[in-house]
Amino acid sequence: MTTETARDLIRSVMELPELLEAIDDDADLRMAGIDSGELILVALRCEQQLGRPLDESELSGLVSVRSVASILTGPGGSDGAA
Amino acid sequence: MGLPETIEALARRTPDAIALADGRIEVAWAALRDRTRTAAWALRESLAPGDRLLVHSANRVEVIETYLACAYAGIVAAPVNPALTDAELGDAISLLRPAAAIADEAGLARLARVAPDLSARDIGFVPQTAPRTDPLSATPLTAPFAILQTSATTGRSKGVVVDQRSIQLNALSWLADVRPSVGTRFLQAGPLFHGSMVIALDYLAAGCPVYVLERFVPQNCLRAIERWQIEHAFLVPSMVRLVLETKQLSDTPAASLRLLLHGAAPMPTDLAEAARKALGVELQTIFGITEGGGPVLTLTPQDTPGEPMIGGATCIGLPMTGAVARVRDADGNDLPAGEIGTLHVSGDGLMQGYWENPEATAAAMSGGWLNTGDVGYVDESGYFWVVDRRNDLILRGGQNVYPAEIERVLRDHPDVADVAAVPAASEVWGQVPVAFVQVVAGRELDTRTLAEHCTRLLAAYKRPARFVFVETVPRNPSGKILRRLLREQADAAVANRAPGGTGDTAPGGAGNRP
Repeated sequence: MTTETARDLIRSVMELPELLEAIDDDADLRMAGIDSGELILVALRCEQQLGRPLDESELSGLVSVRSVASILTGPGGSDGAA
Repeated sequence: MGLPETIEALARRTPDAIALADGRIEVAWAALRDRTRTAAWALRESLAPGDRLLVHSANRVEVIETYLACAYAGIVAAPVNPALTDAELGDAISLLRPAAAIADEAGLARLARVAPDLSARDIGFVPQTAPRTDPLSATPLTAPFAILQTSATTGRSKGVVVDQRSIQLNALSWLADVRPSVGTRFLQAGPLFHGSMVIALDYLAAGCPVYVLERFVPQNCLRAIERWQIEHAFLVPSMVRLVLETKQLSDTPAASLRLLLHGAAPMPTDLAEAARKALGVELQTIFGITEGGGPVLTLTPQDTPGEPMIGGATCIGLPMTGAVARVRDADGNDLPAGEIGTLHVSGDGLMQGYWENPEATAAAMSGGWLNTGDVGYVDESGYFWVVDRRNDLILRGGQNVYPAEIERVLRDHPDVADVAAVPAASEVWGQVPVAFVQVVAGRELDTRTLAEHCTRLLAAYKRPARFVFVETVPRNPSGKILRRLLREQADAAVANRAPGGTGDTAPGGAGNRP
């Protein structure tokens, strides 16, 4: 799972995907202007891809492009032990 | 009986029962009384009755305790949305001129930067303070209790002043029309900084424990319902939609939840039906307005209002106990059943007025009646229906955004000649703002530039979901923006690039400049 795939997922729920262009892979998405509602949608899209709910630590760790990519490669993800 | 007396009585009757809890602590009624008395005395050391106390905190037990302490001490709680930008927070501080602030860790850091001269205290200070549990002298019910921030048609926020009499009336209305039993467990899933915090106080006044969700995330909302065996919850329709969408629902199906109260935006019929089926709950509509002191009308599960007279109208039920409602024409005359006009409400729950803004107060209130600005009608059976919400108001995920706020910020951009912001329909959020922008001749602008401009100056929920570039902003001969015309175009612009939908992110939309 690359960060570019994670970017595609995040971009798909953003009202203004143009904002993502200025955000580094490790930048805090909320500080960069992604609102809390969009982060909820990111979590739901991750669940759809993984086929399971995110646990509390995954939810609280969903802060950057790289962390989204990391969750998608975890259990149930493309590189996970599914 | 005011809030402090209510807490005192409950502390005597059920001292060890849980009154308040969040993910960190549980506070029994006796402890709640002692903690709020201690906090009140501590606040009184540096503040006088009538002083404003800025409250800048995410949801936590201590926010409600601070409100109760203010009620004890006669100090006016002035909560602010932690999501405000520094500029917006500065505006709020200028408006309220607080004598002091109380804040969580993040709030303290922001206040140190934005208002370094404002004395700010950690909201978790009570456990480190010597207990002082002797009672304080009673505060008059008509003394201001809180100033709640509201968006405004002027583009600057206004402060809605409410007193304990308003809270008391709301608590009685809640008992009569929602009917929680003593001990009913309520989940406070929404933010505590705005008018919906009144609902948490309503449950406390009814002797019901309030469980505070730190931040709404659908997965954690369902986990909280299971963990605390929640029976009643208040959610806005967007929250309900998100709860139904998470895969967490199959693991924690909210079996304890009996009554789902909803408000702040119209609940789509299909979503209501899906919620009933998936959650096994009854639904109750709450129509509230901050200027009305909170909830004013309600449609209970037992109500049977029939079909709307106009397609798309939403039934908001009957006035709650202690409230009166009328539909009036532009001259203030009561309209008969079936005729469309503006919804007016009256009762002891109404605000005292806008903080230091008699002109705005006079424009909204007259003769004890509040003009909600909502357009609707009353049917032959006495049920009230809303056809269109307040003029120009954008209801995004249950939060109010006035176009003037967005327009003011965009007009400040040197390359913007004119701008109009209107609501567009959104499947997830109900409505989102769309900005129509006229660029100064000879200049260039793009969406990213405007988005970044707004990110600096507007809270994220106020930021337009789309920018549509136009040759001119359409206005009538007297210069008034033709908003209705723009709303149709806005719907198309959003539909052409729907976020949260199927992943279609291709730029587009009528009139959009790449």
